[in-house]
Amino acid sequence: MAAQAPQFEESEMSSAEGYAMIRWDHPDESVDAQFQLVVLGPDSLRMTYETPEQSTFLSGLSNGDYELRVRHRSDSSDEWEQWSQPMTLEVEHHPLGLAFALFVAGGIMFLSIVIFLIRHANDALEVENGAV
Amino acid sequence: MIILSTTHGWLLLAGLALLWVVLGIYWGRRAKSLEGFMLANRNVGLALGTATAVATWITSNTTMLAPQFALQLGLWGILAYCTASIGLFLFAPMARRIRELMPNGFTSTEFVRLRYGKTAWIVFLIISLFYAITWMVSMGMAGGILLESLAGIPYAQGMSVILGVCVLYTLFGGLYAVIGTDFIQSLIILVGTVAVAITVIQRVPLHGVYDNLEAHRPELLRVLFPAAIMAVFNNLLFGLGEVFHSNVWWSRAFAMRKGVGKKAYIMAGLLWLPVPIVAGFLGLAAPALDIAIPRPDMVGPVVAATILGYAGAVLVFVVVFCSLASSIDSLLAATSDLVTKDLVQPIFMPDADERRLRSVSTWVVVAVGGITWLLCLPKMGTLASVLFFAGPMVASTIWPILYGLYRRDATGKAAVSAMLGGTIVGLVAYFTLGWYTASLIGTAVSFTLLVTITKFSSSRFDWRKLDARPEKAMEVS
Repeated sequence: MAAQAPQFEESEMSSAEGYAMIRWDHPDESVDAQFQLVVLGPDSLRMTYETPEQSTFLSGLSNGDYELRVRHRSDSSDEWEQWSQPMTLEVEHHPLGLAFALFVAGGIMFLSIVIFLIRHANDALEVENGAV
Repeated sequence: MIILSTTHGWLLLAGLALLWVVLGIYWGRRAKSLEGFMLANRNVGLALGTATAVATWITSNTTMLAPQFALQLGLWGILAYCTASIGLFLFAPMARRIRELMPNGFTSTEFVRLRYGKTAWIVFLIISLFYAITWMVSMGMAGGILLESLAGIPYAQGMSVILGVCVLYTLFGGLYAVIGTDFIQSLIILVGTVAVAITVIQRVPLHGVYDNLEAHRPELLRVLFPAAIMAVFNNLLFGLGEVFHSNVWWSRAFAMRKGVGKKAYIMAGLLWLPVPIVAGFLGLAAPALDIAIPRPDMVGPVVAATILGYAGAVLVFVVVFCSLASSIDSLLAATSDLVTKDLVQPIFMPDADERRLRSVSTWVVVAVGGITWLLCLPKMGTLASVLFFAGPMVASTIWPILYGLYRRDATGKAAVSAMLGGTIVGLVAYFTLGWYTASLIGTAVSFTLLVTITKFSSSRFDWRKLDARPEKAMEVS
């Protein structure tokens, strides 16, 4: 009898950062297993990972739709069981305009703090001299 | 990915635990008075001052979160994490100012109470305690996750031992024990990091890492990576907020001898800077080695152990244990000071003598350790998500602290509005845009509110109100 395939925790995911945590279940918890995850993406991208864990973290993905499948084999066997149902991961990064706006805002905040501290660098003298 | 045998893991854990407890008790012998226990008699010199600042800032977050940043946000992520050193550089002049304004001070919350009044004190105290607990929980979790991953020690057991050891030696020796162990721990961390860096660079060719990232994880190398661009100043401001507000850093400013604080913080920043670069490289190397990373916060230890094998796993174990212990003990001591001097004494024991407060302080260390342990047990979220939740809160204290230290016209009303407004809007950004925007937005909102309200202020604060024994200062305020 063929073993059941693992199932992804979510069948669809989206990411605005190009990274995602992918989790799946173990069809037979009583047996130690290896899992094989295949990621298919735009421009014929194909990545394969093998792991004894039930999760993998993917990052650095460009905009586009990705299809993921996972299968397993028990540690005592060389044969992989059937593939899981696919899950889709949609990557659409934040707009660059928003990123630049926040970058500039952060830069202004940082410079303001530096300038503030430089301007007040000698304020300690005020205390030492007893002025309040 | 279990590399060490569980027996070896336990042996290493027991050896390091014994070493810190014995050294903590040895160094803590001088902590007889309350001031000795809390502030090492305000007599910490440059070498120990620098070492304790470096060791405290090299947390599990530096050794475990910096690789996570690189894995999530690429080269920008490493740069973003490195900006945390700027917190130490900019705190250097503030340390001098704090020492001069409050030669008898104990805590950062005491400053806020004297400078801005009761309402601001309550808001600041909540933020400080929330941050301290969040930081400690993230480290307790890191310890448990690390021991489980490297040596198969069950999460709850490993986490409990690490927290227990830190509680034990902080309990005996207070800040003396913390600073003494920090000195040894900083040496081990720096030597260990250099060893890991040299070995990894020898074994993983840079061009291989680059080619693999370009083919499979292109965003990690991309200059126009939106989330990463947002994260740079967000992390910088989070780091500033952490250092500017936290009693961990204020207590060291109070504890260092006059004239030492500024130099110690600048040197600490310089010594700290290479650590996240080395650690971050491990995060970038993971995809090149085709390693499946089960949790992003484990990427550093998993990659180091994979590349360096058994010896590498031992090295990582020791370095991360030291970085955890050096930060957990500092937080335990600083949080205990804060609770004892700013919560228990003013509200419940205004007339308590030093001996009584010293005893309260030790119980507070145990209680803070216990609360952290309880919160660590469920293993909530990843390290980044746990820690960065506090981001907008601490970032919203940056400007109130700066204005409070240097400008006489800043008022309690302005400080409260800035802290609350920055926190609320920052948290909205955390949930709607992402964790990598929350501190930045919190700082900007807090700044706008503080500057606007202060413009209409006619108040002129008398700095002398800060220069008093805490008991008298309470009367002045």
